[in-house]
Amino acid sequence: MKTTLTPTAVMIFKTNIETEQDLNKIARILKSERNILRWNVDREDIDRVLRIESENMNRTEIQQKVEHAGFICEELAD
Amino acid sequence: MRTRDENKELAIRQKAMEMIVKVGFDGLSMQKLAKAADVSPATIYIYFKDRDDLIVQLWKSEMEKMAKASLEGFDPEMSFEEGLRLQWMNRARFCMENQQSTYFMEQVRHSPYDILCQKKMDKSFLQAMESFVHNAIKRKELMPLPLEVYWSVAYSPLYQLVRMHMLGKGMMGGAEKFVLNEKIMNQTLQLVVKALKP
Repeated sequence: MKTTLTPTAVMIFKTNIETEQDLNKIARILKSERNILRWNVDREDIDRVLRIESENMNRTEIQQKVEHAGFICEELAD
Repeated sequence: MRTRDENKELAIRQKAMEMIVKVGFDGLSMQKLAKAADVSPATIYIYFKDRDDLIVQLWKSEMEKMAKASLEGFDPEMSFEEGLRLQWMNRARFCMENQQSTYFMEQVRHSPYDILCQKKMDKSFLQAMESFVHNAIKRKELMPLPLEVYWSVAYSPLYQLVRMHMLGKGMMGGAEKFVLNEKIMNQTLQLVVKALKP
């Protein structure tokens, strides 16, 4: 039997968050989001992967926020 | 909803270690690793935040395996000679049976990742080693020494012999095969114990 607690969802996106400035911009948005438990951008990777751990936000909500800030944000499929 | 799949995670860890040992830290990218482990890059990111996180987590799990192996049958109350012999045997066995892991840990040791990793060192392992040493000093079986001096005398000879065993060659320009057996290990251990006696 698996745990009945809400499992944390890990969402992975391809972005164009490249510079320190970009990172600061996205940080301001994501930090204010209470439903995001953890996040990071791997700027070393070619896909500038944005990784988000959240309990109750969905993919579309996040995508909209990131895109609204002026970045590309596409879901990376499994 | 993405769920964790232990087999996939294991495959990713195994391949990552292989790649690091073969081509070094700089040769490892999430994209290359995904290809090698036959998973998508997104799958790797489910388990690991980025490359650094992957390396540190990998070190942590290998270190825990090593700590577990080294504590097998060990009791910090053992006499110094008996305890050190068991540590030598356990550690040598672990290194030889897990060569990939040994090479990987060695690479971390000589890299900037070492600082990040040492913070995650197994506390129970450190505690066991510490009380073993303190007990031995109290019983006057061991000279009180700065930790670095103690470690260098007590363990460096073992790891040097293990390294030569793994390379398969000794000091004669590699002409003769070197095998670390129990006899050689005991011979060296006797010298070490003698050197550390008060």
